[in-house]
Amino acid sequence: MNLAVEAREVAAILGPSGSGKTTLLGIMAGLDHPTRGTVRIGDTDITGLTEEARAGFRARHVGFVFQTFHLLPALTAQENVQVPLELSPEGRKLSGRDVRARAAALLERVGLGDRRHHYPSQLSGGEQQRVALARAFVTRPGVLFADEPTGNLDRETGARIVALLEELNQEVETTLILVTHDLELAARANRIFRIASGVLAEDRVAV
Amino acid sequence: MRPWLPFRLAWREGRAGVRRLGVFMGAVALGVGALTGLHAFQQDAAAAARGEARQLLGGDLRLQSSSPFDAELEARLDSLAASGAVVARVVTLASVVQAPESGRNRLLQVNAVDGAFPLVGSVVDEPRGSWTRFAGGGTAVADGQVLSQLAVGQGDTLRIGQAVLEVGGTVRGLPVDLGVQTIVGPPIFISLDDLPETGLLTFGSLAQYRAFLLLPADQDPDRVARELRESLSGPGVGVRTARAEAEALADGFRNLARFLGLVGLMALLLGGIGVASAVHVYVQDRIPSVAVLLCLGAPQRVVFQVYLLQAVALGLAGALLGIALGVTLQFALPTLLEGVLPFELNPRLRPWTLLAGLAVGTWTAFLFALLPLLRVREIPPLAALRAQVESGELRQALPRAVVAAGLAITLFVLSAFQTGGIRSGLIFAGALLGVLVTLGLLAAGLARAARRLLPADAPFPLRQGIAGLFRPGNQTSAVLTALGFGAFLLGALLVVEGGLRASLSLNLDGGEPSLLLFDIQEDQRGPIEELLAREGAATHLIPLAPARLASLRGVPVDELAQAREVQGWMARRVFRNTWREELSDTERMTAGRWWGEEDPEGIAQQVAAGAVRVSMEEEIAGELGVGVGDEIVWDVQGRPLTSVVTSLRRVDWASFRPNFYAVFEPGALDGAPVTYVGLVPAMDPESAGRLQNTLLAQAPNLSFLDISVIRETVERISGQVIRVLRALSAFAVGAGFLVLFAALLSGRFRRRRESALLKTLGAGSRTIRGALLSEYVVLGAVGATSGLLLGAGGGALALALVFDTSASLSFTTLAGLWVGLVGLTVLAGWSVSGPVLRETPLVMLRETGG
Repeated sequence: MNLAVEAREVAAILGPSGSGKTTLLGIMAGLDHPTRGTVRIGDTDITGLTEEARAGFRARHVGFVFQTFHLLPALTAQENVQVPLELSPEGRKLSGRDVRARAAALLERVGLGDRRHHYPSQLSGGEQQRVALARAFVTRPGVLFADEPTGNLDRETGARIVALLEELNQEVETTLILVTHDLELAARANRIFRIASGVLAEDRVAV
Repeated sequence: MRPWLPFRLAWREGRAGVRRLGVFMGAVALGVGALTGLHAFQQDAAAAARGEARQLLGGDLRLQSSSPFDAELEARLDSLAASGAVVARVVTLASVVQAPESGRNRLLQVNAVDGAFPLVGSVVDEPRGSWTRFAGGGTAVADGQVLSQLAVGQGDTLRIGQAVLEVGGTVRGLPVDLGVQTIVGPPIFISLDDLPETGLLTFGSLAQYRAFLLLPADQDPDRVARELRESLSGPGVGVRTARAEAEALADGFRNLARFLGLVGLMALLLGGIGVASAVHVYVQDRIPSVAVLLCLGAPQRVVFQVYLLQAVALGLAGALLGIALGVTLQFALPTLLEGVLPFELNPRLRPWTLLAGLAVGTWTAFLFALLPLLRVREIPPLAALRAQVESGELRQALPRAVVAAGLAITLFVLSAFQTGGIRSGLIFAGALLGVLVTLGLLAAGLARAARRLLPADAPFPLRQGIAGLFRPGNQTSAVLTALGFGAFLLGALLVVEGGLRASLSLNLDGGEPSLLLFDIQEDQRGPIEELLAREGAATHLIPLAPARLASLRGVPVDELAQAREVQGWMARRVFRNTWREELSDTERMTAGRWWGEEDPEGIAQQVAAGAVRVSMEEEIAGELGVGVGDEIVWDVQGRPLTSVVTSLRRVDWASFRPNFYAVFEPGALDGAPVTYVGLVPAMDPESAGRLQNTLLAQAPNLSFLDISVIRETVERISGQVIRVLRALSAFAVGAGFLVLFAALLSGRFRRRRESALLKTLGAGSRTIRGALLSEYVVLGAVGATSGLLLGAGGGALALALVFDTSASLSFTTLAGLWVGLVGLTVLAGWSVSGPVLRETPLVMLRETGG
């Protein structure tokens, strides 16, 4: 299986449950090690990196959005957004005040300026996913992986999240790789890949 | 519905997950074990005391006095003997016994006995017949160990006072007076006929005169004792029956077991908290299963029963394990207390004690499990469909209140039983609850403070670690309570132990005295002072003038004793009084004025009328009901002496320096018969031995107390009691550790997800390790700090209230304990966190299914 996504493209990976979508995403993002083959992000062959080095790479260049949000339950919305900044080398150069200011600005941007100090359990699903979006974009990552970002949300909320995702993506000029079985969401991508029984095929190139 | 459904479901549903509640069993077991073991031990001790009552006392009845029996009492004894009673007499005093052949000497309890002694028990003598021969006089017999310490064997000579006696052989199996033995030293026996020859019965010697009686079967010891007490007009004779002696001993062990049992009760309570915490987590993990059961149509009641049955079964299993532990403790305690027990213990299994332990353990586990289990009744079937159902609002207040009340009542009943009274039970239960609540609040406050005071710019792992203490479903309060309670016990024990040890140590002006000299007669005073100065052991001799009370504020003490305004023994006791120019540095004035200051008018009048000034120790003054300005008339060897109380003193009795209830102004006791005591300052054992020999050569009637020997004895006994206390605390601390471990284990799943998420977001394993480490360090530090603080405070309070001594805190030990507890927490945390660190971040994606 071969797959190449250009910088600043939006790619969607479609496929039924158990087809290997998640495994593919995990390998692309450097969350797991492939048995064979290579993954390159930009100029870096991440398959050649140790687990530690991959973690460092993720901190610098990769963002994530999950289906079930995965906010850290013990941290407030604001603190959740700060985490990637605090883990990345660039973020570490910033003062604590700047880190907080950037997180606050991004939360303001996703419309949660007044909910900054709430804990995840005090937020609705849509709000939690907006916090997750802010967290994903706060380091201005080169690549953003999104795993069924609307999967746990109702239609209307999902649509709003998608709109927000697109806006932020354009602002930050991120390469976005989506895993979904939501055809509507996939349709908004530049490129669509289908995966079935571990075989990948490109559907079409969007214009 | 089939009636056995809940049981079957409980089994099927429980067999997989219930293993995780194993810790809960352990916690219950430790509590039950401590309580059952102690209770059984106490029953063993009481049974042994009752079974050996006559042996322990040495007869049916014992009469004891610090002066020879008067003619009236002798007549009574004669008439009892005429009616069939067997009478044996013993005079006991402490003296240094010398072995001229080996040159050794040793302070021994010299028992001069008549031919009838002992009335009970069988003497084992070696060679056979030496005990019978010994009755004829001229020989001394003792335990083999005593003889080997003096390096003498049969046929060698011993010098006791002025008498020279031959070693007749060794004996075992003789009843001895426990109290005297432990303080003075091991016993040696001589014939009563040889006693005058020793010259030890000089005026003022600390001899005890005793008569033992064996009554014919038709005479009731209690009645005879009562008649004797009523007919005795002379002062100072104590009458005791074997039954009373056994009961006193049994009472002593009951008190000891009660005191120690409180630690056991704490272990049980801690076990209960462990149960509640483990069940809480268990229920949380079971929410989906419960919801599914409900969706499938199981009634809420049945589902609740399913989990309750699981909890009760585990509680029962824990209690059974606890009984096994308790029996182990029961059999181990006699060994731990070896030498403290005056009799052989034969540990016996008592079904009722074991059943009671089983019931208490199961009931406690049931109640503590019930509280978190109530949650099961509040889980909606909807929870099967949606992971995040808000279930906080449906809390049913009434059942919770009922369970909480049940817990409070149980705690109170157990406390009342353990402390032997309703009031003390209330106090203890209240104090225990108070400690738990204070610990909980203190720990929660410290944790919150750590979070709030942490600068926003602190390193990320530290902030993440502290935030982890507050993650939803956290077991922080359980961990902190368990850890804090363990730390509390250890801290309190440390402080009490340190305080007791400090107060027992015999420091005196920096140097420890090594010898106390007794019975120095007036005419020996000059030569002995000279001798001591020559030997480089200069000391000044303190005068002792024995006297009894005659009247207080004009009322004869006999009348006061009969009216029970003054205790009988106090009316009869011989006060050993002294005179002194100055206050000693182990006492201070609490009322009145010292000599030399101008007397208030009332006192001046009494002095003018011929009264001498006396300063009383404040506690005895309270017992006697006298204060400054009151008149005390003393009976000084038959002559009345009128005194007026001019001041009260508080005395540090634990200082081992000669202190006195009554101190007279110099000159007040002129003409009264006096002996002297001397305090020989510290010297090495060899010089001390030489000095004793020289002194004895000059004044054979002298008695010595070798203070280092006394200190060793006191430290040995208190050391043993402390060892038992430590062993019991281990139960409570062990229960605390189990709770800590279980709580950390239960948080593993959440911690794993959190770490995987952090890794996904780019955290390296150093960051993850740092966050986990900070979490455990903060947890340990907060728990240890609050527990040790409270424990040290509680220990100091106990020292002040119960033992009347001040705490001496060893900060190094406390700090060591603190570091140890934090290290233990980190270690426990680390051991349950292994999988967290190895987890690949892919689980985050895998678990998106929800």
